[in-house]
Amino acid sequence: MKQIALPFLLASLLGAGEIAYKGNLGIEYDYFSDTPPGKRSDTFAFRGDVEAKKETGDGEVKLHLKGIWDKEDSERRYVDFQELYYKHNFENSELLIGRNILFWGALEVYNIADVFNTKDTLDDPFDYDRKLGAWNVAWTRFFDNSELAVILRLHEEDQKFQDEESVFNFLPLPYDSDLITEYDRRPSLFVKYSGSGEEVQIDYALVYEAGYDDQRYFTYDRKTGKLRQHAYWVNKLLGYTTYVHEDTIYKAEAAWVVSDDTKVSDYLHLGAGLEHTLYGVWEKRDLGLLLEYYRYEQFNDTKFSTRELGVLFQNDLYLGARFSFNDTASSEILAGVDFDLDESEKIYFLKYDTRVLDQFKTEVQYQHLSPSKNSLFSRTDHLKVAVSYYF
Amino acid sequence: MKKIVLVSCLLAANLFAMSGLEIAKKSDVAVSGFESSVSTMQMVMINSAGQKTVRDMKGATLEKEDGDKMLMEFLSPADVKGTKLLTYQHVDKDDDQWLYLPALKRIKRISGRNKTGSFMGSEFSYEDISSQEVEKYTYPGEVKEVPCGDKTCYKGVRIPKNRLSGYSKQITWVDKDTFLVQKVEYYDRKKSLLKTAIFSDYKKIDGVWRVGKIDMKNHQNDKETLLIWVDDKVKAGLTDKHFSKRVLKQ
Repeated sequence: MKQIALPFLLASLLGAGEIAYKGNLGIEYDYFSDTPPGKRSDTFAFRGDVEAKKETGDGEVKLHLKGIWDKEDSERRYVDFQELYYKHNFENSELLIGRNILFWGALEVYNIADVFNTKDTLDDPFDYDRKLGAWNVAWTRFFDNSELAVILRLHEEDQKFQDEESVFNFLPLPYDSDLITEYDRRPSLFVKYSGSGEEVQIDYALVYEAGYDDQRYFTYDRKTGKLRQHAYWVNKLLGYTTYVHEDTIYKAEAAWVVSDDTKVSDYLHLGAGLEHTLYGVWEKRDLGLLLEYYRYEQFNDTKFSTRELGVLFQNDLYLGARFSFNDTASSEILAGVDFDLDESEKIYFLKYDTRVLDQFKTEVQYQHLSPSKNSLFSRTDHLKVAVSYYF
Repeated sequence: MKKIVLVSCLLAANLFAMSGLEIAKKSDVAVSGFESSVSTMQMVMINSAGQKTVRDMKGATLEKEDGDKMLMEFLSPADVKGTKLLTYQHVDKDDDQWLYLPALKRIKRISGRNKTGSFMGSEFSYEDISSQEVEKYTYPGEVKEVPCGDKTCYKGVRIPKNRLSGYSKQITWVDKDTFLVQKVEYYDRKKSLLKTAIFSDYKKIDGVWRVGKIDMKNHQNDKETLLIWVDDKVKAGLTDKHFSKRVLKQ
């Protein structure tokens, strides 16, 4: 797919016609306190995104490139085709061929239903919005208030991690990113039906997947002495919904999974939450209050545990607040705490972002991890500063 | 006899004087009938020190009996380019609203009850930029004929019916000849004068009056926002399909 589509799509983009583009170039600095021996206490990286789009009659070609250059980590120097696709619009349907990113979900902290794209763990394993593009063919039929999509994801992406000196590499042994899959990386099928209520302010989506689970596990390869990641086949039913009542938005996500792998139990992953906004709490500023809860239940305790699978949102409660300044700089403060109720771990965080001189976005983020005694992670404070120029 | 004539004249004057509701209906008729529109707008925000910040956006509106449908796309600043806001307005219930965030590929349903919030950090609230259906207000008191610039205007009061409105009342000046709104004074919930909007640069496009510029001055923070229509097309041939959630991702 990649070999055939790449030259064709790039040639289509470079052909005659007007190209609309946008993007950003940025720098980011991360500092970690109390780093374990052998781990770097800070990182510095340049990053950029460029999007180009060209409309061709009833269709469009889109290219989105993401690039990162880390000063210390040579693994974290790469360019990824986040998106490179052709989409043809018919009267009531569309056909997409290529590589793209989708978002499925309703919650704010973690999206159980956002399984289509592999998370870009090399970029940042704890920022779930950082994802790798997925090669696929998708057909969507649109109705008045709903849509039906049939998507064939053609390839399972390898998941890479930052180098061994990075705090974001928590693997205990060296890692070989060449993914092992059941059934030799065959395509995954997704059938998604989503819609909106007419009388009630509700959005909903149901997804059936016969394909590889987004959750993976590691095994030790005795020959190479390295860890390798396994992707296993599942039958999965996903759903997410958003319901608005007055000033409160109620949200829920769920995944019910039947595993084909003898080591992984069937499981249910649930999340529910709400966001209540107090408008004009201080002059024209708004305060949003957030509450979310996540639960992971496996049906067979003799198989891999949540710890072995690396499930982070297995019994977690999140409390947060979003303060929107509603100013010309779109300034916002997000603060919260995530309680891992099983492990007695807490993550506190505070994030401020604002626009400067109209074309620069700045972000300052502080996180404090207070782990349990048996945690994979160590106690640390994390400060991140990022500045990006948008064009 | 003199008394009878005087009373008759007063009665006649009263009979032929227009009520606030009638003027609002005529004013609504004057700007209705555009069916659907596509516009390019520029918003100039001026702070109390006189510094300007400019925002560009594209808008599309579909005229509907039970509340218009609106799609707004932000073209600048660059970090929000491609962000879209889709609104289904309703007269008798909260609006349906979705926000598309292109960086995340995410469509978020948001609460349509935020009437008083600032639109893009400007002096316009969401209430100000939504369509001004006649049924959204009551029109108490007498309407007076007053001079407004080189015109004569009907000056009247309208009170928002929605209890979530940020205003206790609005005083309107409507051109006596064209029934086009010339000026609105907005009073906050504490009944103090909050803002004044001056409507100007009206143009008749395909037989429909369209405003070209709104200058909104906030008297309480000394800030000002100009909303200027750079390009405006009516009877644009749009249908419900152009306001489905599908268009958010396009």
